[in-house]
Amino acid sequence: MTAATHPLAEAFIDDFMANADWQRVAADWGWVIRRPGPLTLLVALRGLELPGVQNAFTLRLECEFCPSLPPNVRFVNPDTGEYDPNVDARHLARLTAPDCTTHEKYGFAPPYIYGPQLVCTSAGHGYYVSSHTPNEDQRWDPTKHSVGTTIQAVQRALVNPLYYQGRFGGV
Amino acid sequence: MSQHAPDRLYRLVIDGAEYTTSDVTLTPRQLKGMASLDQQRVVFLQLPQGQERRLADDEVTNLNGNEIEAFITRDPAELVDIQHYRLQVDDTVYESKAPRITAADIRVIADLNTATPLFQLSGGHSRPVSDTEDIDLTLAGVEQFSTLVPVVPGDVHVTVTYTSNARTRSFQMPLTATVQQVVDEGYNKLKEAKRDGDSLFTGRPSRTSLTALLGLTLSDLQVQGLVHTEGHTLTFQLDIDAQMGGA
Repeated sequence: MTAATHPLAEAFIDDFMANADWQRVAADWGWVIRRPGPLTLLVALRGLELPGVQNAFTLRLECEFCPSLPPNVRFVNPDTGEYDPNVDARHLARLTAPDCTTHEKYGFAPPYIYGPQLVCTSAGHGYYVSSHTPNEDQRWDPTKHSVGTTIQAVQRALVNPLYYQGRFGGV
Repeated sequence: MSQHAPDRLYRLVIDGAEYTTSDVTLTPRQLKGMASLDQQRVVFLQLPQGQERRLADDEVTNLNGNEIEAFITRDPAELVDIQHYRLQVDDTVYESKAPRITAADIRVIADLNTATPLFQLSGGHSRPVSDTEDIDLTLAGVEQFSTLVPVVPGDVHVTVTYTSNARTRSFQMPLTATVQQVVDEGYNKLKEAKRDGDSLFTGRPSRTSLTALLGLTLSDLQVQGLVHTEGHTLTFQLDIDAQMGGA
């Protein structure tokens, strides 16, 4: 990350926020998107309704790697906008989709600034620092993909009954 | 997409003064900062034929076009005295300073390419307008236009979205068409190739997998409640998910 990359990263977020197609998708899903900093987004979204399980989640996207690499995406505590692995596991959705799996405590080596939570998708930065190798169709491509692609990858898993298994820390 | 070579500079004009920037996209807020203007001023993008379009403060303008983008700013108090005529294209309202414009002007204002069909909506009907047609904006109400081809009675208005980039296209299919034919036409309209691992769903937010339904017709899906009725129109939303890497 260098200072010179930030204008590109900010413009990449600007493009997503201004894109009419993504605005329509966000409205359909009911995403509530906040931008607390120039390179950070907080996105409130919902998963399937499961008996006894709250289905509201919040994602935090850190976009300083964009556009050459995707944003880091993590589930966070909606009250703090942060994720403390010792107390916030209940805010992490248990996802097992082939293209979006969540890990509560992933063994990043070397340590990763946004670890230990890993939302493992090739639309998220953590994938590329955790010994995963995408094929050409899956690899992040800033000419085709957007910040919305990252949110969408999580959203798709959250509404798929085969892959959404509730929360890590109970209800 | 907002990428540019670091050494590329873009030229733009604000209130007649020329500026250069390395940013390929700028918002009015940034433009006013660049020109040291009061943030209360309202920014307009100048368009061909003397047209202009008011920009929201967080609206992004791409400077990577063929022309040098020109902007003018006005004090909000001045705007009260300027007569603007409003028109709506799909869901967006635009303003024109000219009381009469052509459909070609509307394409410029709404940033539509020449291949996009344009229809004028009136009294529940829709009629195609040619690019040379003169349109009077002084009539009561906001003149409304649509880029959606009117649906033939009995046909289904299909909206297909490639979910990894949100690109969406619309087209019509007869109720007798199979889901497979709808999917094939969806890929064709999106200009996307089928890839191993692609998944097919009905639209958001209640997605139903279409994998086992490819041999059914849209009429069959209507019985299952997957083709909807909106007013007098049958609609069907198709999501194509390209598989990312993960696990």
